Amino acid sequence: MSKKPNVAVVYFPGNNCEEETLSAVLAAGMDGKIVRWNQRKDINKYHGYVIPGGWAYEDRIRAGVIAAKDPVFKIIKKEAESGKPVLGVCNGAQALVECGMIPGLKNQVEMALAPNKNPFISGYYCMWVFIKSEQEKNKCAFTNSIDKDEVIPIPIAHGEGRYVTKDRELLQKLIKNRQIIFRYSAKDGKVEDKFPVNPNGAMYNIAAICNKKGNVMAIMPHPERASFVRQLPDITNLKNMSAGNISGMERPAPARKMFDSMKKYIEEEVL
Amino acid sequence: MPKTVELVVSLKMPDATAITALQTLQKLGFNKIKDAKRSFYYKFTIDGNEEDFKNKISKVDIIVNANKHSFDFEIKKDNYVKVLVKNTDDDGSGILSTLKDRLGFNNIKKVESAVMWGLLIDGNEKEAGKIAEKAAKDLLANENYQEFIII
Repeated sequence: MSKKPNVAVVYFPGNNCEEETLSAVLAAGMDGKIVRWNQRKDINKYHGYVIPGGWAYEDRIRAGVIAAKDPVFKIIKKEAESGKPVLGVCNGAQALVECGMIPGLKNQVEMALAPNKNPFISGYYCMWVFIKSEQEKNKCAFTNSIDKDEVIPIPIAHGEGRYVTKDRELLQKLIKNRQIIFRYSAKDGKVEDKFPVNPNGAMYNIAAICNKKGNVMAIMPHPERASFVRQLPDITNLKNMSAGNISGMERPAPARKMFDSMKKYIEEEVL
Repeated sequence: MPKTVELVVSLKMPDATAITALQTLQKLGFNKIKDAKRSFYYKFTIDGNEEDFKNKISKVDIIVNANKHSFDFEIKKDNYVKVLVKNTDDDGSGILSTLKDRLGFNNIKKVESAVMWGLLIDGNEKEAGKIAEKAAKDLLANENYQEFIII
């Protein structure tokens, strides 16, 4: 019998999405475990890693920065260099940016997830949005089950989610390297750099970036909160079609494909 | 002629963020940093009477909550190297509109705000400045959206 992908959901004190993240990992057909940040022994044995959302270390100093300096990231970085997939969701994405794994071109911090720019609300903003896949299926470990231009409904919940950089050439490099994986869009896939389509003012409507190799991705929206039909907002057709049907509510929602892709990637590239 | 008023607001109770910053800096190898403090720094540009303004602004609880904050109208001179970290695209308009439109501070022209770190560093002034700069670059500021100055 072939080996099953086994994923560590790496929990830092203050995270709060680890259970939902593990549910999505298991639902995609992988094995997984919530592993505390200080359980570093044997963490290198896992086939992949997810850094979940929340407020690691209460977002002290800056969102994600204290987690990014934790020794466990040295191990995760090393495993990523060997090709294992690493997904950072929301606070996990902030940590991946703060430790330099994303975009990972210079082995230093090249970007930031700055406070949202929203014309109506300052600080934390929680809303269902749409993201559009920017790349062909084979570009990234988390999108090989997602078609280019596919639009996915997904929630955001953050106060610091605005991708920015001081490097004026970086955006062009990311576009050229095909590292921008998801952009905020309207339901029809049209990308407009204005609220509410771009909910936080991120440059180029960026919602997710991967490293050059494609095995590490930082995504601000929450795929684990949009992985089952029951999690979708009532306005979506998919949920309306399943109204009154409990097993239908447990069916996968579109964002589950990121975890399906991770499984496929591990089976093809890691095991 | 507009005047400027500085306001430094600090927590009265132990500041978990400052403690975390100190521990993280020491883990990163900054062994000469012996203590870290954090305050919120404001600079107001105002018209009118300075003392009246100071009296009023120190009672605005979105800035100074008397239950948990202490405040001062100048940066204290002590042995700590001060690092001011400011978000580059924060023009202060948010807090300015709250103070003007909702709290009636019509004489305020401009507000600047920053986080002020105080680092107690072993070493002479020049060496301490260099260590503070590296600490800011490595942890206290992300220069992709923040800037810092050592004062």
